[in-house]
Amino acid sequence: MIERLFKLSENKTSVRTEALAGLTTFLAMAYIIFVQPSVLSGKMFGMDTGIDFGAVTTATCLSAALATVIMAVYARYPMAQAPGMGENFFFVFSALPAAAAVGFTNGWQVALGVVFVSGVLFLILSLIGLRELIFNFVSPSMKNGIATGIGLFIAFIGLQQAGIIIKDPASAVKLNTHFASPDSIVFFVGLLTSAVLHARRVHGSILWGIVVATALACLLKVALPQMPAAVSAAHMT
Amino acid sequence: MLNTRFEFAKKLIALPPSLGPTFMKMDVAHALTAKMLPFVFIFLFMLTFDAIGTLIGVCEQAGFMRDNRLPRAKQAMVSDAIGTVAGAALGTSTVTSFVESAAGVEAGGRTGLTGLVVAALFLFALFFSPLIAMIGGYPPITAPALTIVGAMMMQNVVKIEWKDYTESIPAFLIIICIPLSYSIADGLALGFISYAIIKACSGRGREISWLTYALALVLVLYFVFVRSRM
Repeated sequence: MIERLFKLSENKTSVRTEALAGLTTFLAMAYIIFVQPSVLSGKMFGMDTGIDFGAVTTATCLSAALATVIMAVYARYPMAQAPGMGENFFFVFSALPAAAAVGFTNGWQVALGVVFVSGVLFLILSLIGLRELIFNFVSPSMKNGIATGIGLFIAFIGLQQAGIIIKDPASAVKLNTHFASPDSIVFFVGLLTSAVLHARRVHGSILWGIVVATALACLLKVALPQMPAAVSAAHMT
Repeated sequence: MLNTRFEFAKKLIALPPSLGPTFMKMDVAHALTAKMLPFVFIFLFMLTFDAIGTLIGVCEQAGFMRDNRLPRAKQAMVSDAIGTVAGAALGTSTVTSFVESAAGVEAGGRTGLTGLVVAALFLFALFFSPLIAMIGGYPPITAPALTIVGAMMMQNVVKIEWKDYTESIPAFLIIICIPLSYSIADGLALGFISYAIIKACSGRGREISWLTYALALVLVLYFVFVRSRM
């Protein structure tokens, strides 16, 4: 049944490969489960938007699962969906204050209404095929440029989130030279593990990098406080 | 960060938090007032460009493009749209395709079965929130994955026609502006505006469709009248 629905052999793949791919994608994007409620509730910025943290956590997982299932069964692509980064910041920093400025006391509900209406319009545009038109007239060079740019973007987000690239008042960004910090060690060990396994064509190389990095983080978390005070102080900066 | 953002999971399993506080709480009537309508269109713009950009990026990576077209593009976009509508009703902001899907594609994922696994894991995650919080809450663990994916997606750069400057300069603007503006939508917009102008002014304006010009015009108006006033 799975074979007939997804044409696995025609796509030169297998149940095992697909399951591993799904796990890899999930682990790469699982951060959104924690980031999204933190952003929407305002907790990340030390403010209170009025949106319940726990409810957003559940809403995020349910909407991600629903949208990804539709993409999987209806469009048959290995494309995962979840609340997008960027839109969530825009929600909290632009739409919500605007609703409050108009005088709506239920600002977050109005902002959700705005998202709802934009989704309905998007659905109509998709059904009449306008977006498909937009999609298909982009030239090959532009499409490959987009893929490349997004590649740089996600690597940039990763390097920043891990604290490898940090902000600098003069040049906007710079390299964090605290190479002996636990953050840097976990990152570089994880990166090189994935890179070497990838170069050796090992299946699930990215996932193994995550497993090794997690194990190392656990180890450092246990070991560092037991080290002489001077060493652990240096490592905890 | 190890000190502050990495905590051992205290327990493995917990019940999902209640959806009650946000379920069906969206206020559509007030969203349709004059002052809020511009935000509807900005969300629509972000959704369209993020969705298209991500779809193109990941599908190029997976080799799904046929003669520069994406089969079933409409179905893919409808999935994005339904996700956003359902997301707002449940209580979360715009749901869209995730570029991280490229990690799964790199691991060999080619069909919707990959997506079903992802969806199942999201439901599963509702019960294992403490463990996922441990891994997902500490970026140095997940950042290597993003970096490797970046390296993979970089391969597309050789498929750009670098000798044809009407193609390569707008493509380059997209490449550099997406990360530096920290926005896929803004990077795309700058690329599309420059694409129309460069084509039109170098005697090759007839190569591209009127839609490209219309889009560029809309984007210019959007930047001048909406974004510059925010």
